Amino acid sequence: MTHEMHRRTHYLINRSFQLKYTFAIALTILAVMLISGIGIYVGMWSSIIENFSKFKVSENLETAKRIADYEGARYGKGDFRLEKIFREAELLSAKEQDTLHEALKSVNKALLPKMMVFVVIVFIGGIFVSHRIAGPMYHFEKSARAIRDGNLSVNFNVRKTDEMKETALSLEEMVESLRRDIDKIKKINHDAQIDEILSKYKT
Amino acid sequence: MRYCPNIRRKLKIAALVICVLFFLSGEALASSPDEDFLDKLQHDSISYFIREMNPANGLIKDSSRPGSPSSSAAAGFGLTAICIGESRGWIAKEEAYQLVLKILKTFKDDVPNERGFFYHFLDMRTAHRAWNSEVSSIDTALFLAGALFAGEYYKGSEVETIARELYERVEWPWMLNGKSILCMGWKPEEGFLWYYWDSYSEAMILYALAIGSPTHPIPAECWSEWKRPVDSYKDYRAIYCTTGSIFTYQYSHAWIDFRSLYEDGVNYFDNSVNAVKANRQFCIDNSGLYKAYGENSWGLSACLGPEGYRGYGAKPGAGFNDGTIPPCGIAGSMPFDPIASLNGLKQLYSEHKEFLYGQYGFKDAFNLDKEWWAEEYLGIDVGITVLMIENYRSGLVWKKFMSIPAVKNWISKCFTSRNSL
Repeated sequence: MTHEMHRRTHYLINRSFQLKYTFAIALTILAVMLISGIGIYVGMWSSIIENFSKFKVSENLETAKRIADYEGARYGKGDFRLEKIFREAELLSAKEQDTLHEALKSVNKALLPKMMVFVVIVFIGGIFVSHRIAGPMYHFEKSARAIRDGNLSVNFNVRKTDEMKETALSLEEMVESLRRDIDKIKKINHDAQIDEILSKYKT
Repeated sequence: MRYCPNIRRKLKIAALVICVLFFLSGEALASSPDEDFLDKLQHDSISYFIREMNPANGLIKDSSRPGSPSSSAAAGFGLTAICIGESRGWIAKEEAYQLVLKILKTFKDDVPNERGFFYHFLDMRTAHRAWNSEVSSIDTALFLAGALFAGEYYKGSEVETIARELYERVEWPWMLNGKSILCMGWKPEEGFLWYYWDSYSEAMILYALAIGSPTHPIPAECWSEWKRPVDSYKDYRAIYCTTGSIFTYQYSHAWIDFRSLYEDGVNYFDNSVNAVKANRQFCIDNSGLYKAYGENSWGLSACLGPEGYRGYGAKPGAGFNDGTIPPCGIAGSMPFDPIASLNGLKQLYSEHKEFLYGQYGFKDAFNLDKEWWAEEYLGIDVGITVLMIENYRSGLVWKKFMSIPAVKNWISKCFTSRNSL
């Protein structure tokens, strides 16, 4: 088997197997990403959004103002400038809310396309990874057919980066053993009928 | 003929019975609408303490405003109001007991305290200190007044045990801060506040509980240490609070029945009667200045106003006013001037119920000059409404509270009875 024979010009060797395998990986990763995303959103972002919402900030400012009012009424230290200060704080908080809103929007904007690119990368990666299994399987299948047709000179070599090296070695040993046994039988056999059967095997 | 005297006597008795029945039925008919009105107002107001309570921990919101924290004082009023609701059959016995128990357990186990004193405001969810509020002596006292009342109402139960435990753990002398008058509060960041309960105010209940404490009392002499400034407005002379806010003449009286208590000839119930009448007269006299003021629209007190919460008041005192009327100022005066209070409440209801009356009774305040109507209810203002109407109607709160040993202890140290004068 020459070096050229090992070079694979396309990566979809076993189309149905590889697509099934790759989709399974990509969908699993997508599902994990979505679940994590929802978890993060509900657990963290929603809390941030709620606590920095206009409504909540307004509530908090109102509470702060009310407590200051209570203290003013109770201790007779009313400061009517507080009203102005709290109104300004409300305006300032509105600006902060806009900033937060923009930040959230840009994060979402940046995250979504990246997620899609990530899924595509996972898909392509899946094809690459799967062909390391599909390649040897295809090669083993072809070799098995050749043996069925009597060609015992086949090999089960796989590339360095392929999976199933142990299987290839075992199959190689099996064919080698078979080749030796057939040779031996050929040498000691004098029966015409067996001769006819053995002639099928090219060792 | 010999039976004639008997017949005459029987006829006389029958006539008398008929007259009494006629009189009673006439009275009943005359008072029925008023009773119905007071029933409705009390019932609606009590529902504040049920619906604005966090069902998980029993904390009651300071205000119906969204995002409002809880206040210790509101919980004290709530504890009392729930018992009143139960006594009137508006809350099922077991439900009322469980609500009261839940509030007390939260204050015992979850609410942070400093030597037994509670923070003024608490987070509704966590029960921890809200914002930078102070450990408040008066709000602790108002809470404990409600707790002790509930303990007396459910005498012999777990409620009484926890209420007593909460009361007995308060180290009242600490709040003196080395002086002979009680401090208003303490903050972890700053220590004791600059302000003291050094003059007549709502703090009588605070001094009563501090002096009557069986575990950590302050000296009885502290009672006479706060100032008692006297002034008159028209025909009404009173020991007054500098703010002139009517609630200062009401809060202590919500639990303590001062009617038979005399201190060097001074009776604080009568003092409140005079202060209430002065407040009403002040509003009548200023009805030309402010649209809302009048003979049935008075009761100037600390409440919400167009610019926020303000310590409104009348004379005597240096009352700040801008035409804002809080209905709770009138309702809280029921025991002091029942006729004027009832007339005022009925008029406010008939004239302004569309804007001023809602699911929890009267909203906090209104100002006709600025066409402003409060959207909220405040727990303490709804609370004083419920308690004082009940004291006027049945005296339930007074009867129970006055039989608490600590209260008797305070009375024995600081007062003489009318008979001993």
